Amino acid sequence: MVIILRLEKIKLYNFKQYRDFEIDFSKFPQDNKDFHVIVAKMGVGKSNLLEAINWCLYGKELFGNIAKPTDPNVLSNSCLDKDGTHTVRVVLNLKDTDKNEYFINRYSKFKVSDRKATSLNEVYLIFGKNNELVRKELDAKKEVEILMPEDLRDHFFFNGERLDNYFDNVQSEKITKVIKKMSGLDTLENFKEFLEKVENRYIKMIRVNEKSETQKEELEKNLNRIKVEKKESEKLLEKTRGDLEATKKELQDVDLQLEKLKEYENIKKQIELLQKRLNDLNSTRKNILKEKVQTVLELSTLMFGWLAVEKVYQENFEIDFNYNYLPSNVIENALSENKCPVCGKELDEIHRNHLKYFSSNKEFVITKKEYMELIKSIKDLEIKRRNLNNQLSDTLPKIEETEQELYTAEANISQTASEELGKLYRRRNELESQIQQLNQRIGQLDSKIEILSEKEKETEMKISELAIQDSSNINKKIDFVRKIEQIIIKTMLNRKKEIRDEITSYVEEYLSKLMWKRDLIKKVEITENFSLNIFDSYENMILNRLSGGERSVLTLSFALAMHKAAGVNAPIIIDRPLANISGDTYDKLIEMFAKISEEKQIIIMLTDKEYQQSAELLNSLASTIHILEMNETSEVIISDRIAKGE
Amino acid sequence: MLKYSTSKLYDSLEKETISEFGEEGKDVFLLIWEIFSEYMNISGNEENKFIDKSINLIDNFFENK
Repeated sequence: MVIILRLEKIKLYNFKQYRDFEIDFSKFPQDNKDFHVIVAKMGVGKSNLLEAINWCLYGKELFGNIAKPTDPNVLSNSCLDKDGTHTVRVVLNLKDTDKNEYFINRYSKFKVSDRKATSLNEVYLIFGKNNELVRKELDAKKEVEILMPEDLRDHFFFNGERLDNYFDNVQSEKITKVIKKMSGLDTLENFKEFLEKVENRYIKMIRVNEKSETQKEELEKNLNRIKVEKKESEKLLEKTRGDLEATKKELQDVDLQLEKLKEYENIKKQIELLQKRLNDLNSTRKNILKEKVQTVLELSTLMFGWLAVEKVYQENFEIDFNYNYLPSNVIENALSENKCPVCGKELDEIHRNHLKYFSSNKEFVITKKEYMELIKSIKDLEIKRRNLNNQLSDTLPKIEETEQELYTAEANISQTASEELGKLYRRRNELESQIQQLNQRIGQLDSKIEILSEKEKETEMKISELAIQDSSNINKKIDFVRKIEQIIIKTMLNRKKEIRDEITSYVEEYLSKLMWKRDLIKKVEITENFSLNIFDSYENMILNRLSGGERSVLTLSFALAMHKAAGVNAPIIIDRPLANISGDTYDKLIEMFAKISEEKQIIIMLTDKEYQQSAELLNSLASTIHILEMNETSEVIISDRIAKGE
Repeated sequence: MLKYSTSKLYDSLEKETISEFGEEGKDVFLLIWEIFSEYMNISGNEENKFIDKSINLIDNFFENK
């Protein structure tokens, strides 16, 4: 059964702004989670609480922002010990699922004068297991190391920043060192070097004839030189392989950025299309307007004349005969005699007027047919004008819409600097050429190592050949040691593969449990140099494409995998895990912490604002919530404690 | 190195030794493990002394073969 270690209590005396402080993480027995939240405003001392735990365990700072575990103000106001000094103390109480209780107490003595605290360089560490105390510091340190190995410290304690940058180059180097150390690979490497020294010692024991002494000495010197050169080349090869991996990763970054900037090219094309569309629409508008002007002009001309024509027509349309054919003198006589030139009857008012028109404005009279044609023309022109207006009202919004689209596209393009594109292409070329050079270098080093190995064998052979007969036993021993060296190399390779497979499968297991986007990561790979690669379903490396929240899930999955691979089940404590996360991911991360806490204890520290944003969820999931405040004497106190089942 | 890793290393080293030395491998492995486990606990300045000790152990191993 897996034994899980949990933090029960932390007690702080005079540590930074904590004068006499105790925080209790005991939880309701029926609660299947072990999830604890500490809430405090910025500056109250959340980070110092994590620093205190770290100081108690390892006597060192964690994130580099704690020079001394002291605050002269706190010390000045606290009670002096009998010897006139102040004691800073942190005590941790832990318990495992095997019912073992642990007690770790670290304290340090300080003197305060002129409001300055001076360390008396007296640090004590006491370790206790089930009431048995280990007072000797070195032994106590070993016990702490078994419980929570310092090498894995970066996998127990996090802050928001570290959750985010866990897989950057610096961290990767650290992770590699930790894996090598915890898996025994570094011990094996050192042991192999040690065996080479044993082998050299045996070579020195080979006895030769007096004449050959100098030659043997020369050969030994040569052999040492070859070995040193070979080792340097092997180290360089490893470093070059690391550089190659880092360069390839950078190339991926650049490719990723370039891909993002491909959007820039797309936007550019989109702008061109929009501009063309806008030009077409404007030219359509222009044509419509031109036609409309012509139509309106024509229409107004017709309308202007139409009023007069209408008047004449209306006055004359009842006359069913036409005088149009009569000569003008007949019309004039008829008017002077007041007699109709056709029937001879006396003229009435209508006929007189009609004749008058024929005598003076003959051309102004139109027939019904002409009148109807005129009306039709006006109507047609009016229909045309309305159609043109309709076309215009269709075109104008399209122009407005296109202008808006163009404006948005142009705004987008201004964000993606075109200069950047050039810079990235240049960097891409540089990196590609670097990769080529590094590959060449690796090839050269490989062949150099091969040549040196050959030389090494030849020289060893020459030394053996010089040996007088009674040295044959030593030669056997040398062969024996060399065989052991080969066994160590093979064991190293096996162990390396084993640990890579182990961590990979654990990371995959945790990711499938914790990642909310199920299909985001399809494959996890731990490289030869123990750096992590993750791929999507299209085999694209996507480590640098993950959001802050997704990176946090990956970091914790990796840390949990490291715990499992190392067989360590310590709590995870995270200071401000939501610091680099967008608000909409808060709840998902909190749910993830709660899920992890079903397997191991997890303690997170939040600001009051972060807590407020997800208070309801936190209240429902957390085993305990402690609200910290600073009282009027700048001392940290617990102002409220919410615990499940209480 | 973590205790947890030691047992894995033990198994792997034993397997490789037997595959290299055959029947004799079990005894060779015990010798390697004796040297290796002691090597893990020595400090840097004890190395030279430990080379002598290892040579003695190997010599004894050859004598007792």
